Amino acid sequence: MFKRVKNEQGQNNTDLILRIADNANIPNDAGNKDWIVYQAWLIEADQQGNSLNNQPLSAD
Amino acid sequence: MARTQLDPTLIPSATQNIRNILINGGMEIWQRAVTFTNPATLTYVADRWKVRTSQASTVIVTRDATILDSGIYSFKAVLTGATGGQDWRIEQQIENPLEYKGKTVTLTARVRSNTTNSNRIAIYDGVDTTFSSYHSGGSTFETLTVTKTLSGSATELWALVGMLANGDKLNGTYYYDSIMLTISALPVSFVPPDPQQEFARCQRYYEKSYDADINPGANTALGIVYIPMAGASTSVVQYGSLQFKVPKRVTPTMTGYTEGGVSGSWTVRTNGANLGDGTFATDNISTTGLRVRVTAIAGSPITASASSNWYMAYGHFVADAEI
Repeated sequence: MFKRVKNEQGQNNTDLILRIADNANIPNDAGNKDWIVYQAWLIEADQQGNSLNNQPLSAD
Repeated sequence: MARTQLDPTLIPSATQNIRNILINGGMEIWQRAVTFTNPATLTYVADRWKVRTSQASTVIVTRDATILDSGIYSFKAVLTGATGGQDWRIEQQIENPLEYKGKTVTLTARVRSNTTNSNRIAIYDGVDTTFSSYHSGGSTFETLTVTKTLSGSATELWALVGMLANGDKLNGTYYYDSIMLTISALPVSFVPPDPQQEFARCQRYYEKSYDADINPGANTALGIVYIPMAGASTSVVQYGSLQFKVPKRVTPTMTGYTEGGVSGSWTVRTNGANLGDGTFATDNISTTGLRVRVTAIAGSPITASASSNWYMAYGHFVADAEI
């Protein structure tokens, strides 16, 4: 599972995503294997109505 | 005066200088851990080597120092729960396969197996797979070899070792060592690499602040990183710079740990004392470094943001840029 995070302006950080299992910061890089896994998860989550867009941002 | 002449038999041949395309073929480097229980498919074990399997249970992978072919360690896998019809292998994917299109490469490995018709090696180029013969099962190290001319339309270059086909996965004890992939039509004996260079080659894909033999998440101060922070507010310190020892293959996944081993957290301190733990947050991650922030610091203890540059953040990190 993954979680969106804020950038320093308090907005949704589109440059990375947080992996909840180990709190890893996964960067938005098409060659990053964890980002590839996240993209696959995102498609499945969206199809099941569990889009991250419905989740609040984590707090600073 | 007679000229000094070289004895041609003492001049290294071209094949003796062939580079191993594989990294950590000697199974000497294990940065993630040295023991794995039932590693899931696509889990990296020894550096640059990942498991691929249709059945992860029941397998114990260890770095072994007693039964080996070269160096001081070998790869050991003990399988006890095979149920038939399954496969289990380790593989290394080469980062730049297109550079090998159309070339003839040879993979050799020293394999020890106590079961017949289970273990062999293979080369995959994205088009098809070419296999070696099986290990005899005689409980001694045997050299397995396979040569393949890669397709002109090759998209991958993988070295595969283990129980490769459905049904090959058998209960037993297996050792893999001295694995060599070269541009050659003939087998080339394993050449031990320079340890420093080999470790740096591994760090292109995986780097940690911990000592080489300390697992990420361990409770240790050895190797811990202290970073001065240039900005602060009540519960955040930020603008710290962390640079990698070796540039990464791609922008890496970053995981932080406190000294005590708490994943996802770092600690903030002043000259006098620790102020508390907060979330290890990053931005501007690149292949060479990143900017560190520590957010949601427990108790919002930061009070002197106008003079924030005496705040330090510290912790361990792992940067993972594997394929």
